[in-house]
Amino acid sequence: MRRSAAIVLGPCAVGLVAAAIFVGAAAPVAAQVVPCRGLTPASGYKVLLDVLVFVSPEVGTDREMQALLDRLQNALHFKLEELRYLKGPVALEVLQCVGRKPKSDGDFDAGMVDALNTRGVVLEIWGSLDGRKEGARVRDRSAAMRYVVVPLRHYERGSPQLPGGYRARYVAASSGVDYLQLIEQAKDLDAYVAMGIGIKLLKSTEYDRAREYLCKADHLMRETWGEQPPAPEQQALVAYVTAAAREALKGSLGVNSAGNVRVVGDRPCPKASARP
Amino acid sequence: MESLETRLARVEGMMSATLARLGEEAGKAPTPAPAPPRKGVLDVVQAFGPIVSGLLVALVAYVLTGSVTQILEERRVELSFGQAMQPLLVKLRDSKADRIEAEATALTLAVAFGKDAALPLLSELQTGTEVSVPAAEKALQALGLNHREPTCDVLARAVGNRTRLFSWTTQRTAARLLADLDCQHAVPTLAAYRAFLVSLAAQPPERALEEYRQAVRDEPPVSIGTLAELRAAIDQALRLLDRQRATRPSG
Repeated sequence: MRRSAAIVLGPCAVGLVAAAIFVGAAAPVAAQVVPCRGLTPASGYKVLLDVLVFVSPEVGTDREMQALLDRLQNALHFKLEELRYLKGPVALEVLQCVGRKPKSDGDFDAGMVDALNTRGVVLEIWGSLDGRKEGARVRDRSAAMRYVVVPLRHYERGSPQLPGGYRARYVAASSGVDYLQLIEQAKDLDAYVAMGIGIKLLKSTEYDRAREYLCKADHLMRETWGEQPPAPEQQALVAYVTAAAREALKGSLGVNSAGNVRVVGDRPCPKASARP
Repeated sequence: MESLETRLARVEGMMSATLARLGEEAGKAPTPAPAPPRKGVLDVVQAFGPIVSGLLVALVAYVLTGSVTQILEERRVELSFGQAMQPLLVKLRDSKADRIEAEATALTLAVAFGKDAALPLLSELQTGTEVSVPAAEKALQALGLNHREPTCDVLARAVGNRTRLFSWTTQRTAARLLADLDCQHAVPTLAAYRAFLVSLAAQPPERALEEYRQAVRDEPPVSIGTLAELRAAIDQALRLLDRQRATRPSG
């Protein structure tokens, strides 16, 4: 009887299926958050490099953008080399996600962030590039970048001080600096990656390694934003990283969080000058 | 040599004697005629056998035909469901399918195919992409609202499995859904999983991980941190189910 009902409902189902296919076909051609090819649940940490766009078509073509992305993927691979061997080797790769273009942090809801986190993604990057064309040269190059620190967004979900999604704007000091150098020189990117790995290690109770990465993030953030960061979200990040590093230190000393660890003090990380 | 007349006279005498004897016997009390044999069950069976066997054959034929027809019908429906599902499942996995498209596709699967969509959606949780997995989870939530029992059954089977069929992420999501859908029958399954995790926590980390990997698929890789995360998810699910049960009107 129920099967019969299913048969009767068959045309409705087919209609719904057709409607779904139609809706899919009618969706905008420029898809937004599509799956990142090559992103698997295999072990290791990943940085996802999504689509970058030229704000003005006169600044560059699609082909130039693809070439830039390929170069940037390689550049980031080498840029993050230090983080691979900070405290024993970690697997860290940069994946280029063709066609993936998030609109905003809103695309990273709890389900998406959970799925990314379980796949080892520590940072997702996208953005837009701008400039002013003067003859054959491009002047006033700038890059408006967006970052989502996946582990932070996952584990601190709902925290208004720690949204996990951040913006940065880099402006070329001279016309000799190209887009690749502009992004490659950004130290906050390294800080976000170090923080992401540090949080993942902390959650895996690998305290010694976690502290190393969190302290590296702390150091890079202070170097980039100063000892007293101007923006509230930067202040919240530094405070979070310091607290997480303290937790890692307590964990490695085998003291629970309620214990009084005098050796930790206010700064669980050595000062930059004391670092090797 | 006897004459013919003599021999005829002797035969005549013999016949007369025989007739007289027969007459005497006929004159005696007549022997009652033997009663006709009574008709037993066997006779009834013999009498009605062909009719009964005919009816039985007809009945069996009817039942068999009905079952076969029903099986064929079910197979036909399953096949048509499978055929109709296929493009949606392909679309859900499409590398060009946006997050919103994936959610719409998964939801269509749930609405159009009802409880038959539970297994493919569970499979998507296990093997899907970072885009299709959250879409499948949302679709299972919607499916559970309309077809709670079959959806709960499928999810509980996933949580209860210890043959490395499912990953810890699938089991964690399934546990979350069991709580979302108020699957009270799954409480013992969740409690057993919790007990398993508690027993692992009492062991040295490496041994605990080794034992866990023998029960659950190690992809994504499992760490002590993920075991703690999983236990927190199971605890949360049990708390939610307990709270939901407490808010029900008694009786």
